[in-house]
Amino acid sequence: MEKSIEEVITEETSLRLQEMSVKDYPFPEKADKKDAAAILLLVAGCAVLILLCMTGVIV
Amino acid sequence: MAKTGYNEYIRQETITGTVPMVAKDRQYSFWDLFLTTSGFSIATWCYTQGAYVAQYLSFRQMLINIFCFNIIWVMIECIPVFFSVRYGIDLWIWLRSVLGRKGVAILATVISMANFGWYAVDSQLFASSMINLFGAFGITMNAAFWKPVLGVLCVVLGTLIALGGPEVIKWTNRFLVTALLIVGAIVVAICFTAVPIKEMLAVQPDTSLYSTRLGAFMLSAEGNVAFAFSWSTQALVLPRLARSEKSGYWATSLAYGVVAPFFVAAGGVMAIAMFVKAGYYESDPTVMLATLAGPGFSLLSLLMVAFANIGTQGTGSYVNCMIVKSGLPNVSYKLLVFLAMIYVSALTIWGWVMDHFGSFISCAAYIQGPIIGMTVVDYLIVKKRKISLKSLYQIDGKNAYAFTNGFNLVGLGCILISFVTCVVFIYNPLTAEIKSPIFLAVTGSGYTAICGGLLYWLASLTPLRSYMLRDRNELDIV
Repeated sequence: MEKSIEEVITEETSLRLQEMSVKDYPFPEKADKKDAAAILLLVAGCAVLILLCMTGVIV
Repeated sequence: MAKTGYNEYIRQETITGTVPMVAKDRQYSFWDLFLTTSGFSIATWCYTQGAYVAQYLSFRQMLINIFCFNIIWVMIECIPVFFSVRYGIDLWIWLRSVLGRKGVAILATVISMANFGWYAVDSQLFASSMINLFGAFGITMNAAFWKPVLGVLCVVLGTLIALGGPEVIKWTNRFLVTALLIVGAIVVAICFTAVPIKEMLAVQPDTSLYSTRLGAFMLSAEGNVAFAFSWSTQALVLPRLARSEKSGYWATSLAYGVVAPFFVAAGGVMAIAMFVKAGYYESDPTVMLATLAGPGFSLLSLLMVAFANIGTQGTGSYVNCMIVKSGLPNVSYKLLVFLAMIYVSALTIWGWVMDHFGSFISCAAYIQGPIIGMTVVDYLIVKKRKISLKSLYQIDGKNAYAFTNGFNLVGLGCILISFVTCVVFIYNPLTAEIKSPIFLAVTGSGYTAICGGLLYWLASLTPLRSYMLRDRNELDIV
């Protein structure tokens, strides 16, 4: 009997999750602290510029 | 199902569906993702947004308003991209754990229906720019007839790109974005050549929008925050294809946070240059280029308007159909793309969204805002970057995200409270009425994100925590 679309998707998803659960599965390279620092610096820098506009220092 | 058909079906479901991506499926480098996402984000609405902001702010404040609000919110809303790249799944699959499966099915459809409004604007701008372009060369077109015809043509061409899937989208955008960035730089150079920067800096902003400079600054910010939010629910579809978390995050956030605002700023610069030269603000790049540099240069708008808008239609159709699919996985991708084509064509001919652009983007942002807040809080604080993938897909009998008949009442409650309190007490986008000084600190859209995230975090500190976190003993893939 032919499988339904839902069964096909579930079966394939299950296989892929099994593949991911293997100990040496190659997950994508992780982001590091440098990325976090760059995000914080960018957000803080922009926030300062916005505050300068809001307080009328930059007109 | 025959073996070949089965394999092809799985391939389609992976690329254009809900099945998680595994190592072998990751095909996008930083540049592939950056160019594709940039191509998606560049459209004529950038110029509309820029021209709108340009009227009410000084030149310096305009640039800071456009870039800084966009960078802050895009950087924040893209944080969950790390998660999306790692497990190869879209935000909406993860949101099953925040809103429940049925909650996602309803909200994904509602938000995509709203997102498609942007594409109706896109195609209408395409049509009017094309009519203006022909006008610049002395060919008068009957707008009543040609506007809907050209608008629908833009939608149909975009649909053909969407049907090609990510590989076609990737190559279309590789060419397109490179050309567009060059044209954008040329356009800004033309503005500064046609009008001295000293005269642009001397333009006094229109104070009729709000009596104080802060009011005008924050009302303009509302537009930019809503603009930044508009990417949020679509932002995690393409990064699933990235090869590393780093490239996925930076390619996505730089495209939405810097490239799109660059074109908004280009629209602002053009509008101010037009004001100095012609005495009025103009948002159509075809008219601006014809006035500032002569009709020959308006041909550049063929790239800026025609190719950009068709590329955006294609990528946008792919991304939004993917969002709907995450809630309704059994519906075929091709069918969704065709339905989207009919829906966007109808919106284009109707014209309501274009006529109520400001209200439309804020209303859409008010639903997206709480989802952004909850997503970031859930990822970093509540679930601490760990989720049960098997429960997300209900595999091996795992069902930690069933909640109440498929609805997570806590998540849905946070969205409802944020939306209603913002409209009633902070800022009503339909009447453009500021109701609280809170608006002058964070904008209305910003409030919805902060409120949604805060409520969700507070709920996790109460006995509701056990309702929200039923998955803690099922975290098998980390």
